[in-house]
Amino acid sequence: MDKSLLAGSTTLLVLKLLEDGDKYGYQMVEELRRRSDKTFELKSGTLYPLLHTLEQKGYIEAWVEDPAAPRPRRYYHLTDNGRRQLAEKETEWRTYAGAMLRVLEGGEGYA
Amino acid sequence: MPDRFDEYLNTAGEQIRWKRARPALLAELRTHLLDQQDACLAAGMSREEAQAEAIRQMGDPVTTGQGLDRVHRPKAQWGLLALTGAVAVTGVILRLTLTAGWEYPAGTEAGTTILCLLLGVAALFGGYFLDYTVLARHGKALFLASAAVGFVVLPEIFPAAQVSYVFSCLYLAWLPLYAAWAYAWRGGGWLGLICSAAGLPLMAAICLRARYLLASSVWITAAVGWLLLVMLAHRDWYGLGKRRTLGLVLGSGLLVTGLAVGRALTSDTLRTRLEIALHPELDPLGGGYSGSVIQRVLEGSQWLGEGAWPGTRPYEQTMPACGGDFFLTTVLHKLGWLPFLLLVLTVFVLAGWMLARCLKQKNTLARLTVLAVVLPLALQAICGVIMNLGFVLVSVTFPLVLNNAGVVVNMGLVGLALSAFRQEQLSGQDRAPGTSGALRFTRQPGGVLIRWK
Repeated sequence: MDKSLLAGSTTLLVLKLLEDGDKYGYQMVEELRRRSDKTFELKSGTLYPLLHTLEQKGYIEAWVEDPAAPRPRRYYHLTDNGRRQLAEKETEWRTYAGAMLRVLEGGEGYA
Repeated sequence: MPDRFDEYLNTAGEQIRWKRARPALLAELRTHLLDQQDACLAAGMSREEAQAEAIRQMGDPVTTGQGLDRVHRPKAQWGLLALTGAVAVTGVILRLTLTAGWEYPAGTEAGTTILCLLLGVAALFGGYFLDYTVLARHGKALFLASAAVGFVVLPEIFPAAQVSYVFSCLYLAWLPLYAAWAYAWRGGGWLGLICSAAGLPLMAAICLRARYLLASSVWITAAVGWLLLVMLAHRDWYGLGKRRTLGLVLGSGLLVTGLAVGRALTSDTLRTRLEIALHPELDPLGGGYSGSVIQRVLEGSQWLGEGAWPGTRPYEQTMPACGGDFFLTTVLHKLGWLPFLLLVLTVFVLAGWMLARCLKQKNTLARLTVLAVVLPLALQAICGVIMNLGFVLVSVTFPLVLNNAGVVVNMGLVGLALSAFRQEQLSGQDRAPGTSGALRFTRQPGGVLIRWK
């Protein structure tokens, strides 16, 4: 599958993954793989810079479960601001996908 | 850690230019690699296959490192640095020019003052580039070592009179160390709370060890330390329950304050001092002397320019410590209300700016460290102004402008607070949103998992 199709909507996917609870990076990659039936595979080079950018923008917050643990897990939490951003991006995507589908399915209403 | 993972992380780390950001970022990537490896091992792969698959799924380490490098850069604090420097330089210029030509008392000595300003700038940048998280890593040891220095070493090496001078500004440096001490008892239960609280009387005892009672250092230390404890109690830092901890800390603080106020009101000496501070004209040649002279300065003061001076002797020979703790009165007398207000407001703007930034910090250590600097700064500024306007109850030196040693200490501490802002990207939140700050051990199916309460 052409990866550029995923690139524009990664923020939406990441925010959506955090909607139902805090998760750490690996958990998010696995959850996305499972929910997309192995269609979407996020690489760390995309995921972590994006997570840290979203954190700086205030859409998500990070917290470390136990900094002294041999394997400290950094969890990400969707903020209220992030929920609003998610709702906006979801609406945008549904509008875009609906229009795309209508065109692909024969252009009903666009003829 | 497996070698192939080391290699991957080294390559990713080389792309991240901010060295201090590397450990936390690479720790997150390493956890990811290990989780991925475990999943592959569980699926039946050999260790080598699992490592190779974990690395393949992570993607190119150079791309990952470059992506993280773009996001993580230290946040320069030029505005706050410049404002701090400007206040200190203005203070030195005013001290040198307004006291020039004084024979008795001697005017400000230029060489020492400029040397101390340079030391202050060095301390400001030293603190700014210091990794303030070292306070968390060695909080207990640093506090106990500093307490030993304050309690035993300093009174031994300095003569009694000098100890008071040294403590009059050095006590401020104990507050961030106390913050680190209280922070280090995270999740420590009753022992943690008791040890954290015990740090306060210990610091007060250090201040009192200076032989001469430095009332301002004791109450500023006690008030700020107590506020830091209240903040930790609000975050249920010791795992005893937010309400219980908050109730105990607030209750004991109010009890001590009540006892202190009660004692002050029933003590004839303290009541007389309070009456004289409010009405210096009652004892114009004794305890109310400074207040009375300030009243005369205020009566003759102008909006801009030198005020009228009704005394027969020169101002500097009448107003005590007019080149020291009462220098703001000198600014008001020699230059007028406008320069006085500008100088004072600049320090308040600096403290307010830092406090506003502090309240945005989500990391507990960052917030504690900045509060341990900015609260004493604000208290010194408020009390210093009140004192210089004629309410002379306790002696407090206006910060960043007066007292050479005080300027150096205060600038170093401001630098330390700015280092927390500089590194705020790295600190993040150290507890789960909406949960307690204390760690809890919860038994889970298949083992014990450390979780947040």
